[in-house]
Amino acid sequence: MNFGYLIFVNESETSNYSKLAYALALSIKNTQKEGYDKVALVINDKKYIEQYTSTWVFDKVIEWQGPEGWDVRSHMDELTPWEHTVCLDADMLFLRDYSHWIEYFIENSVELYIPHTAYTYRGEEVVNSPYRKCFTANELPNLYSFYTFFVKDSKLCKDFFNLGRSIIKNPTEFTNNFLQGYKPKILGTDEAFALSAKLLDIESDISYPLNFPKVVHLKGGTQNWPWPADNATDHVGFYFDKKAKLKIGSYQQHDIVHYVEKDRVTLETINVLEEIAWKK
Amino acid sequence: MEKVRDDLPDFDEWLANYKPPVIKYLAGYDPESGQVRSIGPDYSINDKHVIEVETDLAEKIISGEIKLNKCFIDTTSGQMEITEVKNLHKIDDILHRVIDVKWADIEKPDIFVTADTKNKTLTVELSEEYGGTRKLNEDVVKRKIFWDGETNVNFLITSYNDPHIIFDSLDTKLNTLTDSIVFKNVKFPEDFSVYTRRLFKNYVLEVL
Repeated sequence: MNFGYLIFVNESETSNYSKLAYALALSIKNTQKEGYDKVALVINDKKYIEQYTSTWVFDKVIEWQGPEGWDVRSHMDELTPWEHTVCLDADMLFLRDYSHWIEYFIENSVELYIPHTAYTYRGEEVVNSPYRKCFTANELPNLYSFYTFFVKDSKLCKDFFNLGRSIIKNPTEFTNNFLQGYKPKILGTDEAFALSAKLLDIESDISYPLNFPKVVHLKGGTQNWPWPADNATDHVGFYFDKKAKLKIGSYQQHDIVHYVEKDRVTLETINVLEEIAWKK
Repeated sequence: MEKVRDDLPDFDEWLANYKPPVIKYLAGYDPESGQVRSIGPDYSINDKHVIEVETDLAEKIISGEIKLNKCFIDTTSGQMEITEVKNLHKIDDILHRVIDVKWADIEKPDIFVTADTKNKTLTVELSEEYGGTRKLNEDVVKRKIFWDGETNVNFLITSYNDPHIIFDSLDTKLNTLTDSIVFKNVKFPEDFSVYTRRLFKNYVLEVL
């Protein structure tokens, strides 16, 4: 079996995505069992990760000058060094062993899986997300690309990602033709993947009901609160302890946390994760 | 062809010798309540009652770091005062973790907390900028603060980055902070954090 995680970073002098990717890779090394803990990083310039002490957490570093912006993730099938891959957003943390999810996908010969559900920090399914108007108005499958499992060179994946890339490269044409119900200001990876799945009529093949992967989406508007919120952590605390366990408010977190707010991971957080990695 | 004016100085020479004018900041205020109504460069203030304000303070008010509605003029001394009344909106204001100096990116802390785990003491010092005892490494303009000295200041000693598990709770009044406060017999676990209600902007912790 050849499995690994894939993280994309399109870094600049003013962003800090490489730090977030480093924290995620450390958390993967600290929690996943052997064989399920490999991480590949695709980054526009390797210099951004050279400042970190334990860059060995990246099993492969691929320098790649792709197109600017978010759409770089749509190239995941072309750039992954793994046969089976889960592509993750950089601003996530692993908090326990999730390798049985991967075992399920591989043993059941799943070629592509993208979750259609995200969770609040209280473990509830997110409902009525204000960020998903484009999906509901255009009857798109509610895909979350922050955790995308795929098999390299599968026919299904090639068709899906090729169309996804075309959509991202030609947003005006696809928006005018297929997203008339609600035109998004920016056609991001989630929208492009959802439209690709809909046009190929593979929604039920790639995003059927499963109790996993479970990812807590910590955007302010996705917490099922009866009030509007810009940032979730204006309302609940984010408590990351010395054992790299995370509480949000008074809720202990066990699933993957997509924390969204980039300043949640600090050098102190990195230090905690590094110390655990060094003792492992 | 338009005639070239020969009475103007050479531009490069003029630019090399140009000194930007020093901006004088003024605060316009209500003479009865002392409430500051406007602040800005002298040419922009139309209030009848004005006083001059230090550049540093004026820029902090203009940038929003200090709210205008918290600024009053003490009409007897002619000094600007900042009220301590603070609106607590975010969880981080209500339960603020005092960050260790190792990790803090704070140049001018307002409150400096020192935890001496060996002698079981917690020392709290207010910056000299606010009339406290903690010296800063640079010259500061002392600010007169108009506050309710009876306001409670509370420090919680908790598990590391987890305020759900409290080991000790230490209380004092705001007006005692003009001297450094030393809490004795403090219960420190091996790894701990200090949480407080955020009355000031910047707090730092040093663990001895």
